[in-house]
Amino acid sequence: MLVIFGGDAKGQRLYATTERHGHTDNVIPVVGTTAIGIVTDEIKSVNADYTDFTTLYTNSTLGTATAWIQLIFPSSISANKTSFIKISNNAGALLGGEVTVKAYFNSSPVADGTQASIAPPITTLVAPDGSTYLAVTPTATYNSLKITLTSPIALGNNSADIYYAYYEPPNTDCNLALATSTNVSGISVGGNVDSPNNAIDNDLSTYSTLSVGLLGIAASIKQMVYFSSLSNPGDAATVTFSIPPRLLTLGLFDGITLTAYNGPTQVGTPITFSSLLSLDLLFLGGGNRLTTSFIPSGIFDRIEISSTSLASVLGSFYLHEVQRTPPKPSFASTSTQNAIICIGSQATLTANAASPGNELRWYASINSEILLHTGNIYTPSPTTTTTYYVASAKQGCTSESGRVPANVTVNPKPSHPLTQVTSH
Amino acid sequence: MKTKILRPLVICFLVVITSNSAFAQVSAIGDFSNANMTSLGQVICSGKSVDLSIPSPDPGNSYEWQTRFHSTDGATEESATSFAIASNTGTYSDIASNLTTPGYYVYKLKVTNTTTLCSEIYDQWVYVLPTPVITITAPSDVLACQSATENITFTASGASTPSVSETFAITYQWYSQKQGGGAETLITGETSNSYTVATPTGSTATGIYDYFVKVKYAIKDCGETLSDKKTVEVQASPTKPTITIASN
Repeated sequence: MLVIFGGDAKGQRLYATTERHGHTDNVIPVVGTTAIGIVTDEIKSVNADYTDFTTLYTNSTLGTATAWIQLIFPSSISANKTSFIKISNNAGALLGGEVTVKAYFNSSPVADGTQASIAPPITTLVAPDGSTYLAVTPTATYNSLKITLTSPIALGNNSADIYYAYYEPPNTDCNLALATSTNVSGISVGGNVDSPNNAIDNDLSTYSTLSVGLLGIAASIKQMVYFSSLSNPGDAATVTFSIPPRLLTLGLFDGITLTAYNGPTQVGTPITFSSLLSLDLLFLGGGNRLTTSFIPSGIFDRIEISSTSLASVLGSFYLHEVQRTPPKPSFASTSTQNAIICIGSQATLTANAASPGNELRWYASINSEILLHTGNIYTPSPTTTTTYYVASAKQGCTSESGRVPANVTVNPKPSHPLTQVTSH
Repeated sequence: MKTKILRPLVICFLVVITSNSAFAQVSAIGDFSNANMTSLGQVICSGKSVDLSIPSPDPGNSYEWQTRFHSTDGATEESATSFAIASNTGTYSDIASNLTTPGYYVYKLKVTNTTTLCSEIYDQWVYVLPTPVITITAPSDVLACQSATENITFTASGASTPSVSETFAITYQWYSQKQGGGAETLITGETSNSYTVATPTGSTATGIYDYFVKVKYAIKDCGETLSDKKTVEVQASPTKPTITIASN
């Protein structure tokens, strides 16, 4: 299993490299200091070691204290570009609103800079390994993020460990999902999402279970998957799922939709699953997983899977993986997708990848894991009429688009005729 | 008539039967080393054509005889003998003058499905028999005395021209014919490769007799082939015979 956070020092990520920090205390004359903020190891959140951290600490017996650190990027970041702060999983402080983040422009180690507003809310993301990230999307150009820890309202102490802040330019690495969140809204009996992280662990065999339960009218169950960079134009949202064995009709999938987002902004209109599937594929049923891709109308960094009461009949829905991939392969013509050969000869199937840096992978069935060939041109020599499937992937990456069928029709050779030899 | 018995003339001879032990004698279609030889129609007499056809063509296919090769061993197509057959639609007659080298020939038939254009090449094997050559070995031409008993044995041996790897079984029939207008006389029962003339006898008129054999292939009737002739001269008694060896 490849977990995104296994490599904290991903080369394409751009990290904050300088900082400024400080604290505010509450000092009451005569009584003394009743609240204090402390910043320790401030350099560790901007150094090249991504496993160590700066600690913000506040302690209060009366009044309020804060501890803050401002993480400054080496160059400015354009508006609406999301940055991520890795922070200790201090649920109490995060939920209590005692950790706040502000963005600034023209910051330097000696100046706060100008505050840049942030599109609310700041999202808390929990990665497959339990790491917690704050996703911050300023709506103006910025070059720093200031994290402030406030002493608890109930008094006592608070702490937060800050590891690093980064953002990711488009088209880097394997576009693995960063984190996921779930949401059940409205009146739902038994609606639930189990093991949501399994949908972003880059392991097709594990899955998040969306139990639809008895959703009330207007109720929904959602799972959102976050990527740490915006997609490239034309990238596909790719979902691998399976369903429990049962007799299926396409209509069951009407209530399940996929929606892409760019930050908090919806991209295009939701796509129903049923429009991505064909009944043929559904009859695979029986727990077989299926990968399907769609191309949102714009660039995106989030994919949301939503189920409404319409899908209640399905009961459960297994979300194996939500990925960002190249679009499905295309074919220049029906002849390059549907080859006709005589038995014993070689077929040529030629598919096209959407852009350089992608490769095509050929399989014997829609869900086979046995790779037959990598490349745009596949030249099998089947002895019977065969359908192959081809998927797109970034070179070096495991995630793949949905598969597209390509057919080889095999014609027999004429049989040995009766021949006659005479002589005169 | 009193018969004067002369000292029997003893003619020593050595019968040498030569055969090519590497190949079994071919006397039936199954004796060919090439398993594609399954019908006597594939055995072609020397000097005859090979006429190829498709008796029941599939209307969905097209047919064309494309190439002919000679093969000495029945397995190897001798590329130097490749012959491109003129365009045809499944019927082709290869005239005898193209087939002067005896042995195997393979004809390549291309069958094409006219819808799918899938095609396959099929082989048609034939065997062109060599021209048989039969020669008689005898101790000599013999001058014999009437009323004396002498045993003179002729041995016929077959060969073919040009030579081939296979040895073909042949059947024999011996004949005699008196020179000077005598009828050709079939010698009943003499159908092996050797024939012993228990002659002359008192009943044999004096004169010069020709002895010869006619042979046929056992596998297929390609007509008879005549051997060379050996002569025996029967002279009248009681003249003491003088035995001379005639030049042949």
